[in-house]
Amino acid sequence: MRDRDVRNAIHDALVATGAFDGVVLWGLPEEYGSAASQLALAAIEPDSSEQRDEWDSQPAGGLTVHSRVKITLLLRADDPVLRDEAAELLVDTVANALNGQSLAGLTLPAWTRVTGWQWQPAVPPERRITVSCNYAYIVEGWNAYDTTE
Amino acid sequence: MPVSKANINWSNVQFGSTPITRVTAAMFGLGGTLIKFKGDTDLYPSIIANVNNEPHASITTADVGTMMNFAPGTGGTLTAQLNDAKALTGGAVVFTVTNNAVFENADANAQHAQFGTCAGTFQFYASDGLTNPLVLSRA
Repeated sequence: MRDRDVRNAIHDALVATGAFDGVVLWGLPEEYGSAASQLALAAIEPDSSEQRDEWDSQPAGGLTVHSRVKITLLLRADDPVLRDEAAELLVDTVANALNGQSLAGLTLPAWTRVTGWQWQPAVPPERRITVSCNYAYIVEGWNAYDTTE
Repeated sequence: MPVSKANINWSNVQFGSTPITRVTAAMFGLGGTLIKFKGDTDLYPSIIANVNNEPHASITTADVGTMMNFAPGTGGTLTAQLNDAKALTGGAVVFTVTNNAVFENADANAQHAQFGTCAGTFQFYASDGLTNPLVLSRA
């Protein structure tokens, strides 16, 4: 298991909410295109990771990996007030779906949560909110990273 | 390549048959103390003697359950290896107390949103009252 599996688990969790017309792992609509009929969209992208040496000795000791993914929420609506309210609702929906979960059976629930979100300038009829989701997991050994396809 | 003469991180930490992993800190002490004699017109101690040694160890681990599961008073063998900084053979220091380590106490501590830790303390005794139970070797 590795970050890829966590991102896939985030994808599945967001799809399961039923709140999105599309949840994609391959970037923003302007980069790959998406149908205008998709009024509520989530794009999951890797952001950053950091290793920490918490205990024991190399190479047997475990390492913790603290990672962050960026989830760009996109909401299209004609009414700007209803649009922003709906976009904000998506943030809460994402938080409820991810907070405290052991994503892919890998992440530590205590460190799995939405840690912040940032409103992007509205481009009518569209509003975007960029959500940061942080999580951490343990690699049991310095040479025990998952290299499966 | 010569050993580094510096040491980093613990491995092979074990009490009895139980490995102790997730070790974040360990301390071994010889526990030596001195008594001094000064009499007559002495301005400084004229005799210093070592008549008391109480070797001991403290091991801190994130594996709270394992450490808390030891019962105070339990005896056994305690081993721990402090590795050479360059991981070279002969540079690591191995602490071994064969059979004469006694588990004393465990204190668990966990702060919000951090890994919890548990510090276990051990005291060592000499069966004959004379032989240092704490043996250092290199590996």
